[in-house]
Amino acid sequence: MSGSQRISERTLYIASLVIAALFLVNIYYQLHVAPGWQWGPALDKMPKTMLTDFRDEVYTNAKGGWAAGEYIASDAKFDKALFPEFVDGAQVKSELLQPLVGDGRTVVAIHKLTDAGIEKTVVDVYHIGPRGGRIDSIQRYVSQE
Amino acid sequence: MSKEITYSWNLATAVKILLTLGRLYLGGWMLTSGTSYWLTQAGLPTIFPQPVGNTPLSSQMLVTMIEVGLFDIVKTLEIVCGLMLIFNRFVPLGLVIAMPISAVVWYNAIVLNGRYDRLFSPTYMGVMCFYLSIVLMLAYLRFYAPLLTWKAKMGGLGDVKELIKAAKTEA
Repeated sequence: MSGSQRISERTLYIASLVIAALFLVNIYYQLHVAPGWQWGPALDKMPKTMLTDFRDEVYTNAKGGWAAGEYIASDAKFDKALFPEFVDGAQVKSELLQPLVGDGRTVVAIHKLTDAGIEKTVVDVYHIGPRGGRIDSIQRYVSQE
Repeated sequence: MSKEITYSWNLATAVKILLTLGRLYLGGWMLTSGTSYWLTQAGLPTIFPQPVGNTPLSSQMLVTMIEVGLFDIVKTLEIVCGLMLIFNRFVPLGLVIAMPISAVVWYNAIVLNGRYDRLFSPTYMGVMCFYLSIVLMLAYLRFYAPLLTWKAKMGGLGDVKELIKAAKTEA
């Protein structure tokens, strides 16, 4: 096709807005739908905020089983035997001995755990997955007091 | 009555269409990215979970930027420049805003996350937003040319009028 043609500026502008709307729909699909996010309370929170909410559920609300299911990835690496609080109704109390220490996606909790009247000083090192925001590993160090 | 534009189908027209599509896509991306962040901040369902990096350095940068509040500025600017690019208003300024954001996104995606294999991936907006910003700035080069004035003299308060005049100008 050759030769000069004419088009109104308004038509072009409206066409550009329609294309922009189509692009927005596509971008929304690519970011919201296509990745197949497993939405839940762990997602889209900063690591320390997520850990704070997780600890509230486990130690304050005694919903350790539910919290573990929602906040910890199904393939997370941790020794389940070391975490008796990860069942609903567990009466395990935790008192942070200092604020949570965060560095990127690693968060460290230094706390006093009380389980069946026995107190232990525990250091938990949580690592949070890159996208999806669930815990993908926990290392627990228990003091030998 | 709307102005009529005369055009002919040639390479220049095709390039202009491609650049316009690039402007619209970059604007859409910026608008979506900024909006998603502010939806989260407002406690509303988000578009996508905010990435916090795949490597320790990337995570440190992103988490720190969010925690110190710098992301509030970045994401607001993303929305502002996204709207500028989509609605074709103040586009040279919108690109000036988009450029440093895109450059940091590129640095995070490639250098901090080590994704050198995706350096030129056309579907990866972590790099493409930066390249689009550069190409679009070249398309609007005439608006930036005065920045290269070799010996620039200071102006006066009266120059504020120039801003108002420029904002009313179609060029």
